[in-house]
Amino acid sequence: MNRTYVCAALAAVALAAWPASAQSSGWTEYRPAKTLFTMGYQMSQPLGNFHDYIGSSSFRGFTFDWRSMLSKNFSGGLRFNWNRYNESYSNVTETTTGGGTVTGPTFHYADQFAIQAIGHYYFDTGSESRFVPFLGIGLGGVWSNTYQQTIDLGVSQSGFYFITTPEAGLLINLAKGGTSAALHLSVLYNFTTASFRNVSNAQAITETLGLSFSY
Amino acid sequence: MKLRPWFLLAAVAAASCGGYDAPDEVTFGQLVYTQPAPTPGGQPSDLFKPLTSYYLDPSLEVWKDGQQQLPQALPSSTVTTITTRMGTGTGGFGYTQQTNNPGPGGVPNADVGLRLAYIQTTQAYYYNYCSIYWAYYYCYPGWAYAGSYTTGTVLVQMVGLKTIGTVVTPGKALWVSALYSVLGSAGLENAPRLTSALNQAFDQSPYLKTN
Repeated sequence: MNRTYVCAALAAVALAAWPASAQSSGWTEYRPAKTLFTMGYQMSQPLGNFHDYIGSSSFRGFTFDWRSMLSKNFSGGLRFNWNRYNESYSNVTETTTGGGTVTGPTFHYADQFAIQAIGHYYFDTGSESRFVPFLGIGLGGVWSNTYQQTIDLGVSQSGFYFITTPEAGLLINLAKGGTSAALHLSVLYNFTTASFRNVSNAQAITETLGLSFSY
Repeated sequence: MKLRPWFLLAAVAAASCGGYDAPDEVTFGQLVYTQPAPTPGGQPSDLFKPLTSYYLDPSLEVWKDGQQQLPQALPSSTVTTITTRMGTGTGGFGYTQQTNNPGPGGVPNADVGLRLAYIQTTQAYYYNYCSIYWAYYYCYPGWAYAGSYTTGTVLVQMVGLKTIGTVVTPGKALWVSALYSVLGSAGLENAPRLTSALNQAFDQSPYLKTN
């Protein structure tokens, strides 16, 4: 009789333990992702007259986004990203409107903080595929802060502007389960209405290298 | 697999501290501005081609924070630079130097006169760290820092001394140059930056050449 109770108790403990075991193996038990978080490093190259203002690439950038799957292939969410551009020129010569000529070293700087509503479409490459290409677009606002300095004379401009960001990218699944992790590679085209000095509608090509977590 | 996203955030935060300030080559550089007198309908060179001689004032006007000081003698390196670039030698603009000092109130016997002024300006700065925390406005006295520095700007002026044609008249400024931040606290004793700025001023004013 006692042995019967012991076996029943062990069985009950074992059965009660199964759900807990299933929860702890959330990384390995696959289920379609509902929510994605992406965190990544960004590089950016100014284009057009923004490139005339700062010709060198930005290696200071960061992005963070949250996406919720609206259907099997579409997601919507929010993205924050920041890019800092700066360049110094050892000797710049410019002609003034009064006929004068000025020569000196200059420092150009631009910070852009953007927050955008984002939408993405994911190409269906099969549930077993490691690669998931996607296309996306972001719409929102960007706070632009720019600064120019020569010797100890500096002037700055700042404002909040419109930004739109078409994007093409690829998710490379590293671990797939209840929670999945993927390498995130993407190229974005930033079009803003940010205008300052001789720059109008500052634009840039930006690359993201990040990690996406989905569950 | 244990991911530590805070490491990435910390790395980005560290990176964000960089690139904000101008490098020393900009902050401690020099700015050279030049401007000829307006020549409506003509070129700046039209103004200078008829000129043949110049007089260089050997004394330097000195101003400190808006107060005029006693004049000083031009540094020899400055005299050499100007006479070389204005003179008739190779690379010079082709002017003949007149050296007879007419004395106070007198007018030198030359087409144009060159005079330099040294303007010392003391710049004071004060930065502190203040922030709003809830409803309180805090300043952290220990974080504040203050100081001052001196910039030395040299102005160069070329003035007409005779009536030549219809444009050049006595007392008219024909060419001006501002050499910003070429002399710091060190003053005139050691003035290689003034020499290089003067050369830059002449380099960017090729219209000064005479016939």
